[in-house]
Formats: sequence, structure tokens, C-alpha cells
Amino acid sequence: MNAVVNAVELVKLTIDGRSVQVPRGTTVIRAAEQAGVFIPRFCDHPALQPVGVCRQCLVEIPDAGNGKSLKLQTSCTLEVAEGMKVATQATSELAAAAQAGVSELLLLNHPLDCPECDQAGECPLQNQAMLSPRQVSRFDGVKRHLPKALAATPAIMLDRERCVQCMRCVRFGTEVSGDVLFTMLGRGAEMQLAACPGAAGGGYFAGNTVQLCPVGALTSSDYRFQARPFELVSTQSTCDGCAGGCPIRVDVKNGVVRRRLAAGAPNQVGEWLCDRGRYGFRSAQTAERIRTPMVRKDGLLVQASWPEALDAAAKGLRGLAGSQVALLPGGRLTLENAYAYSRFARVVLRTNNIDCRTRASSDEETQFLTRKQAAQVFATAPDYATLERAKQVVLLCFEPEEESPQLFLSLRRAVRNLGLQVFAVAPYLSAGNAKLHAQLVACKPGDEVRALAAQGITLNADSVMLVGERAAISAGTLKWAAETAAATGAKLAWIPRRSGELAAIAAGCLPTLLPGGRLVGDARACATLATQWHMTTLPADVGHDLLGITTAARTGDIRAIITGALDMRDLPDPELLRRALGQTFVVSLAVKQSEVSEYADVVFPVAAPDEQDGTLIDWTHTRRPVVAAVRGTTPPDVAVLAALATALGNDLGFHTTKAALASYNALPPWISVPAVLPTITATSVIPPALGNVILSTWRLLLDEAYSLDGAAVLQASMPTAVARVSPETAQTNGLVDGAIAQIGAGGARWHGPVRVTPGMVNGVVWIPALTQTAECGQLHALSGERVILTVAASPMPWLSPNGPPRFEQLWDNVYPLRQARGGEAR
Amino acid sequence: MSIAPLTPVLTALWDTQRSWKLDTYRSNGGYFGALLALKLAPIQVIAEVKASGLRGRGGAGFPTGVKWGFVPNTPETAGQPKYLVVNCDESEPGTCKDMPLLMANPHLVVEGAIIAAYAIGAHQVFIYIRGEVIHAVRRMQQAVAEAYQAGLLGAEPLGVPYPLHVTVHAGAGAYICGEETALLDSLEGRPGRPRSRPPFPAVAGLYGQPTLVNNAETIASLPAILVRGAAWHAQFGTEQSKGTTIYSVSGHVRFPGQFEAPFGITARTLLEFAGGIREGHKLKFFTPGGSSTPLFTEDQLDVPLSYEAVAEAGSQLGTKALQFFDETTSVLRTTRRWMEFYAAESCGKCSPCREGSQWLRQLVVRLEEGHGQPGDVELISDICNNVSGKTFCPLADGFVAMMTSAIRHFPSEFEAGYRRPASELFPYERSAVFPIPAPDAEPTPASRRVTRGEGVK
Ligand SMILES: Cc1cc2nc3c(=O)[nH]c(=O)nc-3n(C[C@H](O)[C@H](O)[C@H](O)COP(=O)(O)O)c2cc1C
Ligand code: SF4
Ligand code: SF4
Ligand code: FES
Repeated sequence: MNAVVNAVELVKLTIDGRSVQVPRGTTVIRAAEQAGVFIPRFCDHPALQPVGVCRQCLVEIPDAGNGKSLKLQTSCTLEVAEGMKVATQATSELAAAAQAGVSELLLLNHPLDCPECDQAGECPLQNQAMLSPRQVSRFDGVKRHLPKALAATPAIMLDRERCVQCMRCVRFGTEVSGDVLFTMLGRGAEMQLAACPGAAGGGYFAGNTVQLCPVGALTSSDYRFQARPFELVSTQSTCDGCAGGCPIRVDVKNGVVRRRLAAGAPNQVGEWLCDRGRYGFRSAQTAERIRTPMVRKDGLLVQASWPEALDAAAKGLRGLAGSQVALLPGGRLTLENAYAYSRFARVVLRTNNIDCRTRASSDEETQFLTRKQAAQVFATAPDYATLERAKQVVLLCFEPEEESPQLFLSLRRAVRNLGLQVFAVAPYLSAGNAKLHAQLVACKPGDEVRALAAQGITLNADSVMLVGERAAISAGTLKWAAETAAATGAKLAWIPRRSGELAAIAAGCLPTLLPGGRLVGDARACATLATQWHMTTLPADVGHDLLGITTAARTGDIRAIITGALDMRDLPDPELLRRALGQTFVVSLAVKQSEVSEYADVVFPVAAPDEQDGTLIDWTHTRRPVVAAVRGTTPPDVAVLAALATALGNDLGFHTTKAALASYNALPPWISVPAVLPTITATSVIPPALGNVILSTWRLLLDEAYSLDGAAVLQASMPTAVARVSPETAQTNGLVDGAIAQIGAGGARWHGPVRVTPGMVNGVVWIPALTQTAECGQLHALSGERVILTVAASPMPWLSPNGPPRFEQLWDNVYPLRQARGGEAR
Repeated sequence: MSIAPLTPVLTALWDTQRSWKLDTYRSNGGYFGALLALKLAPIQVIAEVKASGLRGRGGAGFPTGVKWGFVPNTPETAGQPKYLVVNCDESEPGTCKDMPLLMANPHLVVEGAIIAAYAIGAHQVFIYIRGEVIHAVRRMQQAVAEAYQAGLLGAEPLGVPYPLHVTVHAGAGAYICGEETALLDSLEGRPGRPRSRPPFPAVAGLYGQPTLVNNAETIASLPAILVRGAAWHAQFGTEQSKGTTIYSVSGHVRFPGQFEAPFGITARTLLEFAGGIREGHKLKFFTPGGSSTPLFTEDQLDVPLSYEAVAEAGSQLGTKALQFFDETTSVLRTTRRWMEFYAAESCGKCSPCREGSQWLRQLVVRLEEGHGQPGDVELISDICNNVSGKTFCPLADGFVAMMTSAIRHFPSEFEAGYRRPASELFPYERSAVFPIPAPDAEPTPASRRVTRGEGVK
């Protein structure tokens, strides 16, 4: 099979006299690029199907490969042929004249308002116009005038006058993302682009249309009028929004990040970016940003100098070690920062009480991750390319569009082009999985493995299992996945939601693991590490995980905690951590103030993601470079921990990110022998509770995450919260579509409109985890826990899906006013 | 030259009482062709049609049998759905043959559809009719209902176990929806805009399945071929354009209408059938095949109306719509009308046609109103050159052909538009066939009229 893919037939042709060899089926415009000849184009895009509508790319074909010549042809639709001769505008007067003619026509109705257009300076139309031999238009008639700068979505402004009707944005929706956002209305000179009513936010990928638009017809509300291309300093980096590892370009003007763009090559990973990655960089620019250290004095956090804060932290930590301390570095760190935490824990605090997972986890997951890392099985783990070869993909406790958007796009491409079959093991078929044409294996949370077996779906070497972080709380799922992978040869990828967890696990931010997959307690492994770290011994006892740390802090066994970026709302029981932090000495390394700051005794400001160099490890275990786009005044975690080590009279071994990476890379490779690997045992962490239904919940890509603070356009396109139940469950509980449901768990209540969802498993209610919490409330119950579902006592009209729109649109009367939220929770 | 006889085949029943009823049709031998076809193997039907030399009547004149051969007919494609679409979107200015055919003898089309569908292995036929012609849609619907009732369609048409269903679909009235791929988009419920080729509809058409699109008149020609044989059909017409066909004759003639005659008849003969140019006037120019074909003048009156001869004379036979204009006609006025039509009907998909048509419209409107700028005529020619052959579909080539031929024949009339309105040189009431009521108020000059989406000048 693979051999067939590789054996592409090559075709030889000449373009402007240069000969070039390309695979059969290539279009002339692509072949020309390979030959170093640029043919102007507007509608053509390497990642979209050719349509041949702008007619800018006309070339002459003196020989079509059969001795016959062809009149002018669109090079974006014409396929190469053996012996073909192509004459582009460079060598054919006919082609040059045709292209000039098309340019003139394209500019006919163009408003030529370049001085106030964001695209000016990076606009193919402007460039094409500059190349034109005729600098003054012969057109003195009436141009098309339409109301300008309409909000197509909260994030996208549409200027129909500037549109060249290339259909790229339309095709993006139908071909790539599956969210139909734009369409063409009318005909002839009146044909105009329109946002589809009901498309609302346009989905998670709508921002790509702005980057895709060859003119300034689509501009970003977030970036409008902020900069000219020549004012920008661009940096190639990696997005930290999820574990996808997407390459991005970060554009900075006057030391402030203005925009992020997708930076992947066409048809490569990262050619598109999700809106979270594109717009989610404003958090570091908000007022809650911490810029100086702070120390708690008389119960209040007050600004302090660095020496003062380091002193205070050292004083609080001095004398504490081993089982008395713990570290919660969080799941969004770079490899370097995570490694600094890991080494700090072992060398300075001599403890293994460290856990990067600030979310519901379980012993089963710890064992699974430990085994995986220690046995280095990821060397054979799947990657993006694996999906193109796979025959079937099983999604377990994983919603690709919400948790790993780039992976979602790869899946969609494989489904559309390569016939990949996706099975979604979930309570209902989410909108994202429907776009993957996935077959739903409907099941209650926790029942995934049984449901899959009941469907008779068997896996083999052509299958891929994609397992999300929620598998931790579905007892037995990870165990089954690991065993099935071993038994059938199916590929297995574990995909955390956060960008830093894989790097943190590699760096040893787990109570069972040291850097490089060394097991805590494996004497031989520890010995090699101790030598590297200039230590005689390393702490040998397995430490506490998050739950253990919070419990031990409550009982007074743990007396100090160092935290990185934590979102307390993400914990299974935030109250437990609140009390734990309240009872201990807390040192917080944070970019922004958060709930943790309220409990911190010392706060150190650290660099935001766009402000530091580093390395991320994506879900394929590939290292991705993060490059500082702006030089901030706050140091990276590495430097703060190094200074703290010094203040405690110790030495972390490095002070800079670069040195930290060098130290990590210098660790000799290590693979644990199978005998010492932990066995995986199914463990349930679901607390027993009373209730009439089982809760299913997960976080959406766009929700109230701290990292999305300040991104106004994202907030406006966030999905609205709904409670999903099957028709039968709705009926048995007296609910109808649109009614307001109340869900109770422990003391917490959640209120929101019911969305009756056909095909959903019975006896389950699904809600988004962190969406509209101000309006709906938030439950701290786990997927799989029993909850009480009832009709809300008093109707709450503001929660109805048809409630007041959040965003007034400057829509002209051609289009109905639409609600601007990003559609309802999928 | 002696007048060749009219050859009513398609039009044979047109003056029969209630010619559109099934009874009338059957009592005149209707559906015998379909029965014959259903008794043959599909491949024999295709061979018969190939041998007849029938060419498509939709405008391009593509050999029908050859086109049928493009529809995959291998054992592997046996289970695959295939479709026949009958194109009754007739909207080329001047063309009026399919609509009268549908009104007078809809069963001829239904019978032809049975034959064509059977030949290519389709079990579903769509008859796509221009929606504004609601009476034609109704008549066709009734004919199909009659056919179903009489067992001519359905599970066993004419008793032969070859399930066949016919759906009549009314388009929403766009010229471009006559173009076969745009028609398919329209039929699928999308705005009608041409698709790129390849894949051709014969391979991947309606809903991505093999689809044959034929003009209504092409389809209506089939029963006679089956009944009387390919050789009978081939005896009419010329070497390369065989058979008889319906010519639509209109304009400044005494008796406009449809005339069915063999290919190769001359425009002069047709003009004689139509009673000649109206009393006291003489011919100025005419279209041989609808407004999308280059204009002819008196000099070409004797060109045989066959695809090859008209092409050799520098135009196209197109839809065989002859519009005659006498010496009272301003060529600026006609080209303006046509340009307004094309600018409104351009689908907008490709830039040269979308932008070029509206630029040309603006230029020819101002010339007609006498507001032309010196150089406009050269500009028009240049724009035509920039549009011609560079567009996605042939619609634009149609108006370019019309514009360039008009300028070539009457350059001075165009240049006169720099100084004087055409209505002064050619008072419009003189070219009106029916008297125009006196206007009570000054009409709004068209250049001041604002189309939607366009600013005020
Ligand atoms: C702009 C345009 C309009 C057309 N309109 C019609 C039409 O109204 N009716 C028609 O039968 N064919 C029309 N055609 C031709 C069709 O594309 C197609 O060639 C024809 O239906 C094929 O049928 P035939 O092979 O029987 O001629 C049009 C083509 C173009 C480019
Ligand atoms: S808005 Fe931009 S991308 Fe969309 S059709 Fe217009 S020019 Fe093309
Ligand atoms: S030539 Fe005109 S009608 Fe044809 S595709 Fe282009 S815009 Fe549409
Ligand atoms: S780039 Fe080829 S037609 Fe648009």
C-alpha cells in the first residue's frame, strides 16, 4: 500500500524553457512554482481544490504534450502532461496581455482604498496592480458600492467592495473546516459575498479565512488598524494553545504582539490555525498581568523587590524537604521550565511530590503515563502522517475539534480524501465528530470499552486509538487501550488538552517519574541521573500526586507548595485545594493574577508564552521550538527557580532556558527494563453520589480559560451553553427542548437550556465544563458521576438560546440580524 | 432560388386539435418509437442515433450519439445511478422553439426521454424547464402525469420491465442555468454557476453521477429516428448537419414564427416563408443563431444554415434563432439591450465576464445615449479582446461575438454615439412594429437608473 503511494509517476515538461519534473496530476501552476516561475493568481490555493474563477493565471500552451497547441489556459486547473510546453507571462506576450487584461477587470470594481486597508502592503492584488503596465484605469464608470465593513462574525469584518470573488473563503468552509460560513449571493456584477445566516461565529477555524483572503475583503476585528506590515517584526514560533504543536508567526509592533498567523506550509501540519491559537494571545496584555514580585505582609500581597521576595520565599521554604513540600507546576510549561521544576524538586527540595496534572487524574493514568514514558513506547507512537495511512481511528474520551483542532483538521482531510473511518466513543455525536462523518458508539461516560466491544469493532495494525485526558476518569480505559495496542498492533496516542503536559512528563513532573523516563525508585536509573546532577542520591520514594498532595496538605504533612500556572476551576474538587493552599506556605510563579494569588505568600512574575524561548512537545512527541516574539521584563520560570535555589543555598545547575535545555539534552538515554515497569490496574475515581442521570462534561476549545482572557473576539464567539439529553431522558425527566434544566451535584447547581439530542445515549446529561459560568453556574462533578437533573423552578429567559444577542451587528438590511455567539455548544 | 419545402416532423401535430393530449399523440403513432427502442438493446439504440447524424440542438451542435457514448456503460457501472436531464431552459434571446414544442407536443419530449434514458441506462429523468414559462411547466407536468397514468412511465413503461421515472423541475429563470453544468448545480438546489470540466457531466454530473444533458429539441427528434430509421433522418440536411430542425424567425418580418426545415436552408428562404421584411423596409442585419452569434447582413442571406457553412461564414448556427432587423434599427440600441441582458445574466463566477460585461454595458449605454467619449469604440474592442476566450464558460464569448461583429459592421454608428443619441438618428417609434403610446412624462434615461448594488453616478 505504502509502496503504491510512493511510486508516483513523474512527468517532464518545460515552463518558460526551464524543464521540470513533477508527479502526474500536478497542476501547471504548482509545477511552475517548482521551476521557480511565479504565475499570478487569486483563486488558486495549494490547499484548496482548483476552481479557475479569477482567470488571473492564464498561460499559453505552445505544446500540450501531443504536438498540439492550446489557446490560453488557466494554469491552476490544467494538469501537466509529458512533454508539455508552457509559456507564462514571462515569455508569452499573449499570456502577459491576457493577465494584464484580467488585472484591469479585477480592479474595475475595486474601491482602491488601500490607504485605509489592513491588507495594503501584503496584498497580492496591490502587487499585481503595481506590476500592471497601465497605471491609470481606463474605467470611468460607476463602481459597485455596498455598505462596508460589516461584522461577518465578531472576529471577521467583511468589505464586499474589496472582494474579488475568488471563493477561497467559501471553499475553506466546505472543503477544510466543514463549517459553512460564507457563500456567494446574486449574480453578475452584483454577485457578493455573504456570511451565511446561522453560521454565527463560523466555527473554530473561521480566522483562517482572513489569512486566506487575497485582498482586504476579510479583515480581523482584533487586528484592524493596528499596524502596517512594514512596522511588524515577525517571529516563527509554536502555538501553546493545545498539544498540536502548530507552527505560528507572531507579529509584533512596538513591543506588543498584534496578531498570530498560521505558519505551516501548504498541505502540511499548521497550514491552518484554530481561532484559539490565532486570537488567544491577549491574556498577557491584560491588567491582571503580574510584573513585579509580591510578598504577603499582614495578610496583604504587596509589591516587593526581587531580593526581598526571594528572601521571603527562602525563609518560608528553608528547612522543609522531602514529604513536607510539593510542587504543582501546571500543564502549560515548556520543556525547559518543566525540567527546572523537576530538578528543583529533586535537588533542592529533595521530594517526588510533584504533579503537572492540574485536572482529574487517577492512579491508572499515572501508571499508564509512567509505563509509556519509561518504556519510551512513543518512539513508535502515531503522528499526523500515521492518520493518512490509517484505515480506522477510534476516539476514546476525546473530542478532536475541542481538544486538538489541528488533529481534527488532519482527521477531516483523511476522512474526505483517503476514506478514513472514524469511530467516536461518546455519549452523543458532537458537531465536530459529525464533520468527521464519525460513526457514534454511544455510551455512558465510563462505559467506553464495553460499548466498543459490544459494537464488535475490532482493531488491527491499521487502526489508531486516540485517547484523551478524560480517559483518566473512565476506569479501565487506559489499561484496555495499552493492552489492545500491544495485542493488536493498533497505534495508540494519548493526547492531553494542554500544551505542556507531554513536556512536563518527559521532564519528570510526575510523582513516579524522573526526567527522561527514569522511574523513581529504579536504583540504576537514579544513579545515572544523580551523577549528571552532581548528587550522591535522589529521593527514592514515589511522591504524592495532585490528590495526595492536597490531602497531605490538609493533614499538615505538607507545609509548603510551589505552584506554576494553575486554573483552580479545572480541579475535580477546587475546595480541597483551596483549603490545602490556605494551610500551607505557597510560592506562586505566575504570569497573571488568579485565584491562586489569593493564597500565595510569595508571588514571582514569570514570562508569558510569547516572551520566552523554549521547547514544546506535541502529541506526536515531536519537539517544537518556541521563540520569544517580545522581550519582556519578566524572567522565565527557569530563572526564577534558579534564583530561588541559590537563595536556599543550593544550585539548580542552570540559570537560563538554553542551559536548561542543554542540561536536559545531556542526560544519557534511558529505557527501563520491562520488569520494573508498573502494571496498570483499573481504578475508579468517581465518587458515589445520588442522582437520576450520569453527567458527561468536557471543556470546549473556546471557554472561560484564563489563557483566553482579553481575547474579546473569542469571547464574543464562544458557544452558548446547553444541556444535552436524549429524547427519552428528556421525556422521563419532564424536559422539553429549550426548557431550562437544573443540574445538581453536591452543593453546586447548573442552569441552562435543554437541547434534546437524538441519537444520544439515555440516562446521561451533557454540559460544557467551563462555559457561561456566570449565567449557568459550575458543577465540580466528574464525567461519570451521578447528578440530579430537574426542570428549573423559575424560568430564566436570559438563558434561552434565543435570548438577547451579545453583539450588535452592523449588518445592512440585506441580511437578518444574527446572534453573534458561536452557535451552541457542540 | 426555389423555395425548399417545409418539413414538419417535430411540428407535424402542432395544428391538430388539442395536440398536447396523450390521445391525440397516440392516435398519431405516438410512443411507437419508445416501444421500438425498449425492444432493442441500448447499444443498438445508440448505434441508430449515431447513424442518424443527429446533432445537439442546444447550441453547440455536438453529435448526440457520440455524447451518449461518453456515458459509462461498463458492467462495473451497472449499479450506479445515471440521470438524463432534458434541458428546456431556453433563454437565448430570439430563441423560441423549445417552449412552443413543449406547449404543442409535450409527449414528443416524454417519448424522446424514454428512448434516451433507456439508451444510456438511466432510470430517472429530470425535465428542467425555465420557471417563468409557467404554462409550459404546467403542460409538461400534465403530460407526464398522463404518461404515468397510461403506464408509459413508472415500473414498467409500455409493459417493459425497465423502471423509469420523470420529474419536471421549474428553474428560477437564469440564462446561465441553460448551460448544462450550471443547470445541474441549479437542479441540485444551488445557485446556477458553471462547473469546471473535467469531470464532464457524462462522467460525474448530477449528484456526482453520470448524467446526460440534452436539449428538448434533440430529445424530441428521437422518436422519428426510431420509427423511420436513421437513414430517413440522414436524408435531410447537409453532409455534416443532418435532419430537420425548428428555426425561430422574429423581428421586422411580416409573419414571425417557427419554421421546421432541413439544415442547409438559407436565411433568404426562411425570410420568404416569414413574408419578408415588413412592408416598405429593407434588411439591415440579422442574427443567424441567437444573440450570442456574430451578426450577419444582407451579404450572408444565402449562406446555407448548416453548422459548417455558418461557421465558415464567420458566425455560428447556435440555436437557429434568426432575428431580422430593418434599416430603422439602431445597432447601438440592439447591442445595448443585449449587453444589458448579458450583464444581468452573467453568473459572476469568473472575473472577466463579471466585470467585463458590466463595463461593456456601461459603455454601450452611454454611446446609445450620445454621451460616448472619443475612444470608447476602441475601448470596447479592447475589452472584448480581454474577455474573449479567457472566461470560464462560453457565455462571455457570446456577447463578445455579438459586440465585435456589431462594431465591425457598423463602426460609424458607434462613433456617432460620441455626439448624438441613437434615438435621434434612428427614432425609436419608427422601428416599433406596434405603435408606441406617447409618453406622458420624460422617461428616466437609463444611465441614471441605478441597479441594485450600484452607486448613483
Ligand atoms: C450560456 C449558455 C446558455 C445555454 N442555454 C441553453 C439552453 O437554454 N438550452 C439548451 O438546451 N442548451 C443551452 N446551452 C447549451 C448547453 O450547455 C448544452 O450544451 C446543451 O444543453 C446540450 O444539449 P444538446 O447536446 O442536445 O445540444 C447553453 C450554453 C451556454 C454556454
Ligand atoms: S472575501 Fe476574500 S477570500 Fe472571500 S471571495 Fe472575496 S476575495 Fe476571496
Ligand atoms: S463566463 Fe460569465 S457566465 Fe460563464 S462562468 Fe464566467 S461569469 Fe459565469
Ligand atoms: S488562479 Fe487560476 S483562475 Fe484563479
